[in-house]
Amino acid sequence: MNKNLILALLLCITSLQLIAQPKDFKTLKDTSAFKSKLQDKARLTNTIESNFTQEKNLSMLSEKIISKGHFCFKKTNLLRWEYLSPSAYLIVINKDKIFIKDGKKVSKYDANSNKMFKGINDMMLNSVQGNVLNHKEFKISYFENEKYYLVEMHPKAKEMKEYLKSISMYFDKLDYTVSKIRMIELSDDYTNIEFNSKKINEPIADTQFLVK
Amino acid sequence: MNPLPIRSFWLSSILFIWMGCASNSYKNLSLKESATIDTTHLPSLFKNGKPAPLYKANVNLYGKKFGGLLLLKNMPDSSYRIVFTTETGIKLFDFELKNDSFKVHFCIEKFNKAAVLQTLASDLKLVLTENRIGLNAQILLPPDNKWTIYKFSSGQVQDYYYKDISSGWISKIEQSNGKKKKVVIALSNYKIGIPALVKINHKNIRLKIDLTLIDR
Repeated sequence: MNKNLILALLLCITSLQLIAQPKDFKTLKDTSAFKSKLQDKARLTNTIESNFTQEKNLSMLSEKIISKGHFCFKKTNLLRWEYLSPSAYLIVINKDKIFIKDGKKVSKYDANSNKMFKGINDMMLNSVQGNVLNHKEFKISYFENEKYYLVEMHPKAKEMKEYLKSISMYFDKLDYTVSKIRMIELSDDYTNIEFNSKKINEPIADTQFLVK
Repeated sequence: MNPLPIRSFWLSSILFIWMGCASNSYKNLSLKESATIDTTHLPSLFKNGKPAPLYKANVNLYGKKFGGLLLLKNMPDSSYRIVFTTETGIKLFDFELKNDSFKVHFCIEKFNKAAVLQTLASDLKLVLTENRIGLNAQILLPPDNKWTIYKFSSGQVQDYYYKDISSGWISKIEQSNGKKKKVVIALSNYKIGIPALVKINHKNIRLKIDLTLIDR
């Protein structure tokens, strides 16, 4: 096969990827209006509390691992992500500290001590604060349907590319909060996280972000 | 007096006695017969789980502790897929074991080292008893007749499966190199034929893996 043919094929594949859009969604034209609205809403959001259901799909095995839990966010930089089933597992971000409680064991990390922890910290906090769209480590595409704005993020950083093909975030058009997240791995296995019973700007005690 | 030689003497003595115990622990066993092993001798440990058995895994490797969820899925072609994920859903490895062949479908770079893969493959081959069916083993009995013990030999390595005579379940698996025990696996709290607690303890490296079955 000559070089030009390979180049042409590559261009075709790239073009296909560029125009590929999720089923039932169309490309969002006015992305700056969406971004600015999202940031306005995030500015007015001081707390978020929600339950979540996480579904890990192992496609080749026809198996799902379903986890359920509870999530709290409070401005600024306070986040509690707690799995209640199938096993107890808690992640708390308190400013620049990350706490992980696995069963009874608590581990404490400095968010800036490790690239991966910094990534987790930035990702989780930026997602709920509406800053995720300015993340330089992702190539971002925007879509919409009647119910959602869909933000598709393809990682650029090598460390994240080892795990993830893409992250899709579905923002509810009514309140601009994240309703579901889909993370697709290189093997096409994916994890869906759906948020329900969301409460916005209701008081959350600071003790929620302490781990003993 | 310099205390070091005394301490060394005691350490050597303890080590000597311990090694003696380890190597002698099989000497009280009497040979009942040799047989070709089938599922009546060694039942499957994880085959009957529907949905597939999911374990909470706690790993302690040289003092470094981490955990996740381990899924053991018996596939229609009788192979096993073993998938380890974090609680947050990130897949860390996905292995396949069929008879004696071990295949890596996915493994994060941190675990993708020959020594790590070899250890995990060896542990999985020990607990997935299906790959012993059709092999020859010595059937041994201890003096107290508490267990029926199946001994498989391959080169310098011997694998011992302890089947509890009263319950019929496999309660312990040991791997020995003839001189010392290399791995001891305790299996207990059986639920519908599946061990709810599996404790894998390596003797030659500081590695412990505890698996607790999750209800789902």
